[in-house]
Amino acid sequence: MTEQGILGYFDGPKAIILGAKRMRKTRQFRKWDAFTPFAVHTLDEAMDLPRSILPWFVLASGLSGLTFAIWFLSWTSAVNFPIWVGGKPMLSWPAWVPIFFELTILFSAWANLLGMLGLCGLPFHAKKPLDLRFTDDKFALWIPSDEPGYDAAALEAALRGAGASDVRVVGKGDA
Amino acid sequence: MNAPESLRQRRPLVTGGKTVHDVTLDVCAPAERWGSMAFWSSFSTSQTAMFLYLCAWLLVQTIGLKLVGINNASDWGSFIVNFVFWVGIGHAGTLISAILFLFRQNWRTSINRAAEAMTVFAVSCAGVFPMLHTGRPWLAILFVFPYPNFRGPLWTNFRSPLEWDVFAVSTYATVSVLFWYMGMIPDLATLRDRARHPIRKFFYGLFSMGWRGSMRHWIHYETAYMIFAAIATPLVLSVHTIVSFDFAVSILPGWHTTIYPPYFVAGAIFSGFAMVVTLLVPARKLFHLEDYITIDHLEVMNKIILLTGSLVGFSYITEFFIAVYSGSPFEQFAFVNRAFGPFWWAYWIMMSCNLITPQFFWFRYIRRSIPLMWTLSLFVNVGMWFERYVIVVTLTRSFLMPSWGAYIMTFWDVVILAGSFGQFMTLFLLFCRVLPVCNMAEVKAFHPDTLRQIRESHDHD
Repeated sequence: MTEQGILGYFDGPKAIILGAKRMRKTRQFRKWDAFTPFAVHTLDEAMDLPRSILPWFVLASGLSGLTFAIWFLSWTSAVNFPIWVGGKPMLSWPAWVPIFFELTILFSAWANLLGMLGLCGLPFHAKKPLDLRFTDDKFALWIPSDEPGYDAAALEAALRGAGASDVRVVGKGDA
Repeated sequence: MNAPESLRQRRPLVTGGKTVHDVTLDVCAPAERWGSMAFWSSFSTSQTAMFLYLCAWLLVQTIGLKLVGINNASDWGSFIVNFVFWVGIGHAGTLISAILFLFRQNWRTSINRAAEAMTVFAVSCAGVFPMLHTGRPWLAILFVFPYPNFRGPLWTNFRSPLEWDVFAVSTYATVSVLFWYMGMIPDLATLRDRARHPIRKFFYGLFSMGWRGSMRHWIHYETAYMIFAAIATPLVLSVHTIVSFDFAVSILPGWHTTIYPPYFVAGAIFSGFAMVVTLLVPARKLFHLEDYITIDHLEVMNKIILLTGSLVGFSYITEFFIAVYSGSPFEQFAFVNRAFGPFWWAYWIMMSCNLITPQFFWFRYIRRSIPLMWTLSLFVNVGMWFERYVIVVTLTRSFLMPSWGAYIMTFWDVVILAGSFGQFMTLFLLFCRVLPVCNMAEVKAFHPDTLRQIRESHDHD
């Protein structure tokens, strides 16, 4: 399945930020995206894209790591095979704090990487790059054809008006 | 009086008039062309050292640990010295990638990839030593990790600092690899998109996970990067703290001190930065990255070496003062023995390399002189290895006289130490050949031209 939509190329970070702002002056876009070789700071604000919900996954995973560590160390030391040494309490939790901490971090780190890839839909829902130069030095706004009120001709004019140096329609009828 | 122009204005992070496209070309180049003579000669040297390392392992495991110098007086010997040394080396990478990121130190962008790689490889070198020291490394995995078993079940002792170390170092290794890998995804996509050969396309395609630079993805990526920095910061401080607990939680004079955690962490960063300078000075020449890893970058690193070196030197003096002040004859003896006992030479190598060497970096000329900084960084590496040697080996004069003894490193100790450098350099050189040495996406994001354009786009509102 090939994607359909329209790509507007911009010459650099300044042009694409200003272009995104000008595009939004006339209407709102729900499904648009941009392709950039690096994270262009403030472009996300200019495009009015939502913040990531990743921190909540990481928090949940970190807390479950902590809970697991508390349960596992208590269970092994006090229930499954209790060894009474030197009159010290079975649940001597202060000596376990380093392990609690490390397992919290370990679970958070895995959730962070896997959550990031999951939220991006990578690698299982990865789509083909629309232009191989986007990972080098090219910048473009992308409006897919399932955007409500998609009209290639009108959008082409709007993108050019917003400062696009080149516009390319991708998909049906396009090589 | 006005400061000179060079001090008033921050110099650009990328010099030589390089454009964003040049960043791609220059950083991808080492991975896309046949290695130079210098590369192959250093690689074959490292490989030889690594081969000797494997031979030494095999001998030590088949004949037994009697080949190395450990005995009842010093039953950890050079293995723990090397372990602590390598774990410490790793800390600079995480400091650069995580702590300097949180402090918004933009100069970190061109060195963080190589420094993180160094972290991963240094921790992998470190991990070998505790395993080797068990004498039966194939069983060691069963000693150190808790798993259900039919011996009770007996679990590992979670109250032991050595077990904390298992969790700390394995978590540190995992998080370092994940952080390093995540940072590389966009750059691997760049290499994939430039690849012509199907094998290159396949492998870079596989590891870049289908990244295509979408802004919606960049938002998640940047958040994840921030979180990694935020969790790696306390982690890296905890790792050498816990390594120092291996010593500090015991009740031996000279080890049982509260200064150990901060002193170990400062020492780790100190030695790690010295290793970064040792590696990057030749690497930037070898891979033609002088415009990205500039003399300004190296100068800033030398300032950090000066700071952490002074902290370490201050700790040595504090430690000695507290021993004298404590009134405990055993503690006092431990320190006098370090400085004037049978291992006095190791102590004074440590003191001169770690206390005096970094002080040369007060001078701007030395901070910016490539041959001088490289030489000084070697002294720091040597000094920090001897710091751990002093801490471990001077215990051959412990407070029970019957346990006194001599410790002499054997030939095989030396081969294993040299061989672990071979392992480290082999991995590092392989990294330089197949993976992007600089973080292209970040260098581009902090390119002087990018920063100017983004600033201008705000002025437009």
